[in-house]
Amino acid sequence: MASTASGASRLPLAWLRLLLLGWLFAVVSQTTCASNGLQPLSDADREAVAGYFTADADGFYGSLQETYHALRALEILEQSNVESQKICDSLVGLVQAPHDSVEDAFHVVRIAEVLQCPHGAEVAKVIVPSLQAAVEKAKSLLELHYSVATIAIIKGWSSKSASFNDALSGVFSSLKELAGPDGTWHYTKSSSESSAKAAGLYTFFSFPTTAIAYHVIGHIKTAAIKLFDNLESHDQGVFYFQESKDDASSGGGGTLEATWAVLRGSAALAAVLPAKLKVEVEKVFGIAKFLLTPGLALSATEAFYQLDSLSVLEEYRPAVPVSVQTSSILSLSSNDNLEVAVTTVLGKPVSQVKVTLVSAHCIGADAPPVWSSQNLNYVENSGKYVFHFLSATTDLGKYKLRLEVCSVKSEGHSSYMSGGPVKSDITVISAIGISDIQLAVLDSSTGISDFSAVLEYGKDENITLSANHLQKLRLSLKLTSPSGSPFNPQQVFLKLVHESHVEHLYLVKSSTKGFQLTLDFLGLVEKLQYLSGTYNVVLIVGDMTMENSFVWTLASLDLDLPAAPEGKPLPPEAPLEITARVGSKPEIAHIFRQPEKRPPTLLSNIFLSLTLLPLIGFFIGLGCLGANIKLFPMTGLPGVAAVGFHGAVASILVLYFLFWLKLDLFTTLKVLGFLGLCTLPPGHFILSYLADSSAKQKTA
Amino acid sequence: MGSTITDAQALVTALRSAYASTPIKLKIIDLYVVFSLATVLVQVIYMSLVGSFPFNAFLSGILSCIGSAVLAVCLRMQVNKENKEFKNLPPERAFADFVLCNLVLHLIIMNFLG
Repeated sequence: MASTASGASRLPLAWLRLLLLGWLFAVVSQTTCASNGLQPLSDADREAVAGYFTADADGFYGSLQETYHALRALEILEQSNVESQKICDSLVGLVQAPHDSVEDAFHVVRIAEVLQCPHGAEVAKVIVPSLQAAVEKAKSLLELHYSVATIAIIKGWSSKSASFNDALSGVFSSLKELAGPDGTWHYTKSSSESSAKAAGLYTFFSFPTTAIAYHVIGHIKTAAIKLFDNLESHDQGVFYFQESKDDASSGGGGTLEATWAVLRGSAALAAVLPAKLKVEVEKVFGIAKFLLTPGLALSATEAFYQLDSLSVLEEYRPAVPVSVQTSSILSLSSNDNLEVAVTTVLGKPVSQVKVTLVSAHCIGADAPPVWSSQNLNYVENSGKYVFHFLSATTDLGKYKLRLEVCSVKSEGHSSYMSGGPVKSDITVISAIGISDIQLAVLDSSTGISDFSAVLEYGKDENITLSANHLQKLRLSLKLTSPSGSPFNPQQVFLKLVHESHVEHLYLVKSSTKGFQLTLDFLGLVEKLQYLSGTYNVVLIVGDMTMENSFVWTLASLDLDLPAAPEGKPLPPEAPLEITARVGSKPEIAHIFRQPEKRPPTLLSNIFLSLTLLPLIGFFIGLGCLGANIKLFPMTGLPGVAAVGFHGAVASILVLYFLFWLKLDLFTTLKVLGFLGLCTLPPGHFILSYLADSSAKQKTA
Repeated sequence: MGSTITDAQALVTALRSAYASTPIKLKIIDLYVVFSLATVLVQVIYMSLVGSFPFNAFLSGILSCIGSAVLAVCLRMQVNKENKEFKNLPPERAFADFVLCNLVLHLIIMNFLG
């Protein structure tokens, strides 16, 4: 579709903007973290989502349904650049054109409602006659849904709404048949799959209030309550309504559409119930978490479902769910304040709540809370609740905060809920003072310094030292936290980097007098692999709570080491290129056994024929000798037996030939056993017959 | 020198005339043995020319011929009427043994041939 294609091409730009915004945000100000699990729509998200909807030349956004989705989504995003006049004018024409389904009328009417078109009465006049027929004709849940929802919207525009009441009462009795045994709902009488979406569509029917009796509303309410009761959590407290296999009959849609259907229907139901529809707080927040999943909406339709569902949550009574986010890093040097942002799920700031800091503990220490029961003040300009957390005595490190958000009762405003106490972690950081940095080259034996320099942090002085293996290098420095006490960071290292990029790292240990390291080159000669030359002396200091962690080249050191001893050439451990370590290894060329030399085929064939020569010679010889088969019995049983015997032996020889060609031993043995049994009787018979006949001849 | 040649000639003639009186059956068996040994000879010449690469094939060929020759000699011994040892053995029985042993020999040969 044209709208989604151009929407997709706009998307990379939107994401780029999102990335840029995110980077700027992180660099310029403090980062925030969602403390009650809800990450509301940010400005960048809204822009990305708005990018899905692009209007055609005539002001529409594709088909009627897509146009409605776009208009409603843009309304929620408070973007007003839609051509409402153009669309309203073309609506009347659209409705007048003949159409088969009531679905088109439904979409037209919805668009008119969103844009608040002035042609309501005209549209209603055209639709009303066909609606009545549609209501009586409708068979499935979806058709009923369209017709009843259309009636509900236009009843305010047309004076003929009273005539629908009879038709509607018939509708509701047939609707009851779609109910399942345990509160589930189906699309048609014959389907066996229950569907949350169908149930959602059903609850939509609470729209036309005056037209239906209260017992029907009670029925619908029971259905809705059962739906929410049966709702189960998926991982990490996220709740959503699952799609059912039958949803394909109503246009598919997946979990997002099913959840939207239920929420919209429940909103419609709650609007007519005096006591509203109560759902467990955990489930409300679970559904909100699902709807605010990053990357949930991948198309214009999904964006509509997401936004419309979020707007339902924004109007949830008794209390609107809010998202509470606190800043996560406070800097002592810039004297930051603790800022808490309380917004609705669509990102609108909320000012009618009271935010209390219940307690703030330093993680790791068993000390009493730093703060307890403090109220935060609302600042109009930024829309955030602010508290002056830092003082001169605040320790650096991580703190665990516990906040409570209570709604302030006021007329005309809704109440808000945060889903329980809000927990968050913050880190207090600061710039650390570095002082008394001294670098000295000492003589190993006497301890007298041959060279020493005092360095100042922040100033880049190009100091050159020289040393040989009989000397020591000493570094000392002091680190102080802003409160004046000595600071012990997580990383204090001294690195010696040779000009050939060989590096050596040493830990600088702390003591009561600060940090100190002494490198005795005599003992380190072998570790340094006898490499003489220029080394860069680099100091690395870093910590989680340190704002100004640094890597600082202190000086350049000319180190003179004795030459490597003979016979032990130690290759310097130059740091391998990353690609050498994780790249592909050299290909292994396998050497296969050379096949044996075979004689030429011609020679083999010659000798094959030569082998047959003795056989021919044998037959010729037999002829010469006068061998004959005169005694071969031709008639009667001996004949048969003789033939059978010779045949069986021949078959065994054929079996051997096949065995050579392709059979295996086991098959051969099996067949051989069988053939052997076949050979025995004729063989025995004929040989005993011959023996008897020759014995008779002898005696005769 | 000359006497040895004449002696050898006389020996061969004597053998020939003695041989002529053997029964035809035995002559057939003798011919069969000669045929087997000739085949062995051909195979050995071939092997000396091209080398014994599939050695198992060479061995099975050789042994098949030699085995057949040996069994034929056994048959001749058993069938020969002048042989007192096997007087009571009917020649058909000896032939049946010959056939059976040949079949077993050739099964093994075929297996070894590969």
